[in-house]
Amino acid sequence: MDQNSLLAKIANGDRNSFRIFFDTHSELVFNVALKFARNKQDAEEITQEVFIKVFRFARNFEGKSSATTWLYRMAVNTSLNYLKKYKKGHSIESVDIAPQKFYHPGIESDHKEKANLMFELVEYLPDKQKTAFILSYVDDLPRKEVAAIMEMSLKAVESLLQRAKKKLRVNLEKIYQERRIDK
Amino acid sequence: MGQEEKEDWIEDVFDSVRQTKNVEVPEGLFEKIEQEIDKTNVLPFNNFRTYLLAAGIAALLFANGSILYRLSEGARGNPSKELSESVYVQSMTLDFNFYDI
Repeated sequence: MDQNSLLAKIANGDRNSFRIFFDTHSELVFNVALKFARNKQDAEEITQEVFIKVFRFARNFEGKSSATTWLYRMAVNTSLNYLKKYKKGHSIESVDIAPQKFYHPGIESDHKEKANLMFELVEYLPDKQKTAFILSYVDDLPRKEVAAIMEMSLKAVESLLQRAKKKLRVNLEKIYQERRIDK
Repeated sequence: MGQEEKEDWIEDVFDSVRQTKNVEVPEGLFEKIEQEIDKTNVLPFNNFRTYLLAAGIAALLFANGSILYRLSEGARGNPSKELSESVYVQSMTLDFNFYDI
């Protein structure tokens, strides 16, 4: 069954269709949430919130974009709102404040430390840069799809991605120097 | 040499997040969502509910509009009532003289 018909059935309260939709897409939503929240419990909460929204607003899906794009958008927005609600007060200047340690369970042990550092720095990026970076660089989605998810032009997404990478690089250089001094 | 080492390290850090594998969804999450839906009585927004909501909003707007209209009419005032009130106030001021001994 195609996603549009599935969503039309969900809009009428069909729980079986909702289950099928959840089984097909929950991994995507959970993993997007995990990259934003850097915490399994929060990612679970966000996923829960997203699927309640799906059940509630399935009729708002107009089919202009794919169901995946629609879901990605909902997952990103819900994650950002969740973070705003529960993790206020972060800024790029406060990198030295020990942030929450998070070892992404989907990363091999050889890369865990470095990935943890990267996700820490990503957390301090402004929302749009963070979204562009996670979707485009970490999830490796085509820029065109990222633009559709973020409802922006391709050029705007590319510019966000460039600025995000530049900021991350500057911070990584600082950290590298500090670590050299510490040694 | 140092510069090259730094660049390699930065590239490694960047690349480390590109090898992220998807993590499985925790078991029982769907059941939790269903429970939440049942508990909070979440209903899909179908056409009937939308029309009902729109009708509710329209009724509220109408009620507010009519209250505002009445208030503005009141502020503009009834000229004859306004006159009688001013005469009453004037008489009160004249009759009640503090300096009378």
